[in-house]
Amino acid sequence: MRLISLLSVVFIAGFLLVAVMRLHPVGEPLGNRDVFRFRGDTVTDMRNVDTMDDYFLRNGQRETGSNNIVASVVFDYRGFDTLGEATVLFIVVCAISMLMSFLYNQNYVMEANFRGPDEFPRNVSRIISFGSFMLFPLIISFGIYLVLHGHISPGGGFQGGAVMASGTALLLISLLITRHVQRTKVIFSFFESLGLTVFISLGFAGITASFLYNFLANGSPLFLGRTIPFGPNPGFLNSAGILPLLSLAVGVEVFFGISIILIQLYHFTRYASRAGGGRDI
Amino acid sequence: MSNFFLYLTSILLIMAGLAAILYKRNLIKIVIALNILEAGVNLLFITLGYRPGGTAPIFTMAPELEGLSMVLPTPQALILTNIVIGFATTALMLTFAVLTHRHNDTMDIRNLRGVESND
Repeated sequence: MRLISLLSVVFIAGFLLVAVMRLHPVGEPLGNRDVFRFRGDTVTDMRNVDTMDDYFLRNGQRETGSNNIVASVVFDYRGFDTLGEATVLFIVVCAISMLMSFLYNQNYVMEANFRGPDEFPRNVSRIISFGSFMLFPLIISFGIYLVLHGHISPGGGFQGGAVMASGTALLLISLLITRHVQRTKVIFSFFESLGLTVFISLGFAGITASFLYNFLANGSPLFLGRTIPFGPNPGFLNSAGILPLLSLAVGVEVFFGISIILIQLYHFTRYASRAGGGRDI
Repeated sequence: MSNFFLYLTSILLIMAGLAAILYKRNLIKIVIALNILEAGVNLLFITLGYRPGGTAPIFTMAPELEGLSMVLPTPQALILTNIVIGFATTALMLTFAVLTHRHNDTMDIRNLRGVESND
């Protein structure tokens, strides 16, 4: 058995080595190396562009109004792929909730830890609990900033949602959590479903052109439609059309989805470590 | 040969993850090995889109267009997808692992109920 494993590892390694030797050298991707070399083209076009990535770099700002080309690829050019990705996360949260459904029976009641900001939990260090209590709003603010500025700076819905969910993890390790696990799950799953529903609704809003069509870009500046010329600029919040809205929907879904996963896994550890081992299911 | 050194690094990561998946017996270690494999794949993709001296493909406060080079945006978007899906599958696998431990009292895959060890 071990011999078969060794042979398969060696075979796959050799296969990958042969495949890698046929790739282009590091630092020399296919396509034009001088994408931005020539000047005087305020109206960008497909001149001197022969690969997909160079097309995105030269036309992403004109077509989607987003300074962040990665965000324009994720939410505009490949928006349908991102819908599938958000659906995968949603399905995983559903699966974990079903597997952990024994947490919601009548026998398991989480002991109360947190009764209000004046009374911190006693069985955890005061530094940890007070520090988490102070840090949590800052982490949430930073996550919201990442979500709302996803089209002009590094960030976006997934990253901002993950940052906000790390605030939930901080609350969990400092025991600043509610004991109403079922009520928390109901509220959180409502908002998670709301995020995915808003994403799909925004996709259907532009259905006259195509699904997930960016119908707000390059329109009225009042409705996120500011036109962005090609080239470096300071960044404008009211650009990029439906990209910030999609980013916000994904951020809400990721935050509440990951929070549900974290809360259920944490409650499972409490459930399994209590007296009796939690074997009544 | 030196041009392919970064590719070799990602292949080393992939093979380390694969060998750990095949040889480790602990469920948690198998999940970690799958994450190492995934990191190798991500590194390979990011390396494919690298340009020497390239900046991030973001035009906010970017340098002047003259002589500007940016790394390819599409591999980064794909890796963004891959990281989120990797997180989701890792969470699901860890849930299966803790539930397996709850029903079998062991993390060793040879001692699970219904498994015949023949090595």
